[in-house]
Amino acid sequence: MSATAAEPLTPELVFREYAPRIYHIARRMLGNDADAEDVTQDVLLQVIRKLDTFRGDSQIATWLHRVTVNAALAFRQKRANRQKHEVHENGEAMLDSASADSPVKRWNVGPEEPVLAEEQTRIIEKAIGTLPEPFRDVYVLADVQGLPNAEIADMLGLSVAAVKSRLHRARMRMRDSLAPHFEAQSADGGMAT
Amino acid sequence: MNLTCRQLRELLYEHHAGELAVEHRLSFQTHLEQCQDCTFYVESYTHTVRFARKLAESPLPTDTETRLRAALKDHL
Repeated sequence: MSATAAEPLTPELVFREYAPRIYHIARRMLGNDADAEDVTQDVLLQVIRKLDTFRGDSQIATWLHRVTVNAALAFRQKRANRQKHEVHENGEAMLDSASADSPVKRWNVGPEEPVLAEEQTRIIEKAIGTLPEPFRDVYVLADVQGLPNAEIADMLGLSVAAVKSRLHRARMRMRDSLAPHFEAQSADGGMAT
Repeated sequence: MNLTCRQLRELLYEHHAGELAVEHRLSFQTHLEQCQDCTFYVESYTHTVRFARKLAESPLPTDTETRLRAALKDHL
């Protein structure tokens, strides 16, 4: 779903094409629907005001990712300052994967389905929400949105090696969180596809 | 060089990305042939990556779209 060269960029087209992506990136980064809505509104206003400066769909997509990430990070910072709650700035210690000595069960996952079932989506979204923020940001941008590591590194002010390292830790944590729901023995009541 | 289970799992990013260094490829494969736990672990890591991509293109919740359209009505 992307705008074609034949279809001029209009505010309505930008809304239809990009509002869902902006909203879901912000929601997953911030872990909060209302905050994500505020960020989406802010980002859409920015892009609509600059619409005549964009030359094409790929340029606007790259710009939107960057503006959305910046807006979400700024929102999170503002929220942290306001609430003074403890934020896991460095979640390395929390991201230890399950012991390599623990037995591992095969997942009961069927042939590839184009979309996830509603319950599967809920479980995966909940697991994303448990990732410490620096790891969640990289995971959402890399594995959910499919952005290149170099682009993510640039947006988050990290090296590409740091992006890869955080992504790997996040994937292992996600695997551990999802395992109880997808392991083969849960077929009688579990989440097998 | 023989890999431990922990060492093999540390190489999963590179393995999944097709970036595994030449010197690790044989020991990685040899370990998998002998270790069912790591075979299942590698499979589940791959499933985890695959699931994430399926989340990407969810639509806007209806209520959210309605509120956003109302907030942006002067611009749309």
